[in-house]
Amino acid sequence: MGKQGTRRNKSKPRAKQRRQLPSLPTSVHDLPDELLDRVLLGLGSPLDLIRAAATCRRWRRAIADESFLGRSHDLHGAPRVAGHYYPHLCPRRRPAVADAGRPFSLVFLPVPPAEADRPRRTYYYYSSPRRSRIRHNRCREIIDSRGSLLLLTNEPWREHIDRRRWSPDFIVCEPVSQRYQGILRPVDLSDLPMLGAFLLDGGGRGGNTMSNFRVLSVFYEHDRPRYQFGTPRARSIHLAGRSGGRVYWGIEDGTMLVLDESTLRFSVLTFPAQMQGTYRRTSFRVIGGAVAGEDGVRVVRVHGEDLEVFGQLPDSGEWVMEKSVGLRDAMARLPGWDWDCQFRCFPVRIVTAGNTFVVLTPAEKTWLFSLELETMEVEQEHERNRHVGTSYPCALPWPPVLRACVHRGCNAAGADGAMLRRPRYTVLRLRCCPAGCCDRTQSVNLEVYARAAAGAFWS
Amino acid sequence: MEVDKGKGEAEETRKVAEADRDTVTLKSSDGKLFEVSKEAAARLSTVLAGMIAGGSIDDNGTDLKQIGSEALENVVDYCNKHANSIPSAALISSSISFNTAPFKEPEEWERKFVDRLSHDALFDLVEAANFLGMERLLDVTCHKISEMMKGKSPDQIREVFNIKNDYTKEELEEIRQELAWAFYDD
Repeated sequence: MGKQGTRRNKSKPRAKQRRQLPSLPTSVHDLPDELLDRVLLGLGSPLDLIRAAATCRRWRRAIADESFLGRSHDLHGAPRVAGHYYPHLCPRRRPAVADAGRPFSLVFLPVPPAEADRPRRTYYYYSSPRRSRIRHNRCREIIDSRGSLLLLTNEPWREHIDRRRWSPDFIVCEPVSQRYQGILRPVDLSDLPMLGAFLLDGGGRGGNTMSNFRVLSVFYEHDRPRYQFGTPRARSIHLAGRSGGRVYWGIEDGTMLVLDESTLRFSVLTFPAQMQGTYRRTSFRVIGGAVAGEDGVRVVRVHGEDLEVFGQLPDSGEWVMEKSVGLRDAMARLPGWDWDCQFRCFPVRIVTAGNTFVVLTPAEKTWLFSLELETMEVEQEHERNRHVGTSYPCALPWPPVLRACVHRGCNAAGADGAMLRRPRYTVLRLRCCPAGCCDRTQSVNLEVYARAAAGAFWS
Repeated sequence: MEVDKGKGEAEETRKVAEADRDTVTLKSSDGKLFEVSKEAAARLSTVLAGMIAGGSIDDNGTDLKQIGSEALENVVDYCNKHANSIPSAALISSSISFNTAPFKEPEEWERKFVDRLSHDALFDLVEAANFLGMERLLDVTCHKISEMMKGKSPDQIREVFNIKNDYTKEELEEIRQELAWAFYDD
């Protein structure tokens, strides 16, 4: 019975008792390694991990361990997007980051290098109405982002060139670590129109850092000797979007050109008649699936006064219209909508499209609003509605490179050396035959250009 | 001896009665006794589950020599609270499928439970949970410790956890140079 009493007197103060047991751990030092790992695995952000690794040697060893970083990545996934870059923001026409902090500034990038030794032809298209639009933003423009990296075009200041007639040089940079790598365009292809340039995974173990990337640029070669009516011209090929490891271009004759990013093979896709059109970027985009992390492909387009979303049925792969909304009614619900111009503002144009939203504007004046594809509701409050152009997400680098004060033999250096030997820049030259088959491609990688034009990389 | 045996038999019958009441008695390193629901103990702790299944539960108090009374009290407290909140626990686990959180996010009561612990008590509880094989409690306590590190500078982390800085000045500078962006606001 006495036992019952003993058992019940939990409320007795016993604050001093643990002091009599010096073997009991009292601090983080006494945690065994597996528990320390477990605690450190709770730190998802690379920022927290790097700071924790700077506290003491034991923690640094634990964090720099490759298997630890691997497990942390498995648990938390790639670092979350820290901010978005938007075009047209800062005074000197450098692209700027709108919603992230100081480490994402791009001011460290040098001005484009002098081009004295390389004759540069300039194309003017006086008849082209596009020229006036291009003029302001040609110098340096973000064209892709991947993880913590950005891909920028690098042009001399105020050179008026048609994007589709002149292939630019590139800069790949990592804003947070202020590292960059310049890539000169292949000279022998520089008069071919470029269909697009993309940052790809370098295929190494380096995660999304400067030691692990590939740049792919796609040029279009119009087959002049065999030109026939019906061969698409470069300006009738429109980049429609990227999703699930594939790049999609719409050709105005109604077919889609698809490039598989892993195999670098082209294929041709024909949408059902109800979805066909001119595939211009102002009215047609390919986006990813509604569920994050899935490789689905959807199409969003403006058709007359409606915005339509098409998706594929999971079993048959048949394309069906998922959603549709009348833009005239939707826009009328927006506060500040100018009733006077509502009738002359159609058609509505697509400014940019993400997996969950589309930013639109009336054609006649820039008045941005966006449509959430989940709810098909229009809104104007989001940051994305303040910038004319695509936004590029940027994340913190992964994995954190912890070399200082970590002894792990020569493995790391060896891995890095192997990485540098990989081709970093792949050029695809697409030739289109009159019959419309787009499979004759030529792949040239970095080594070829490094020999052809010494110093193809600068930094 | 006879008396002892008789006593043992009496214990036996009492043990049966206790089995009906579904509790086990745990004894801390300093001899304090705690009672905890058998069902909760078996569900939350792999070690206790093994002991219960193997019949090695001592009714006079199963000796847990490695665990101090304060930590054991917290363990028992946790088990009892957990037993009272199963429905919401099920609810949380169902929401994990689309939540990419590293650990199953602690529930409100678990958060409060670890928040009120002192620094020492928290680390003792981690040790106790580790010894008893209580995965969930280990998750919750380790999560709390990593929460305490988040958003802090190396100096602040050292202060909170009383860590001795074993780098030289030059090494620290090298570390900061290597990834300068991570230390920009220190």
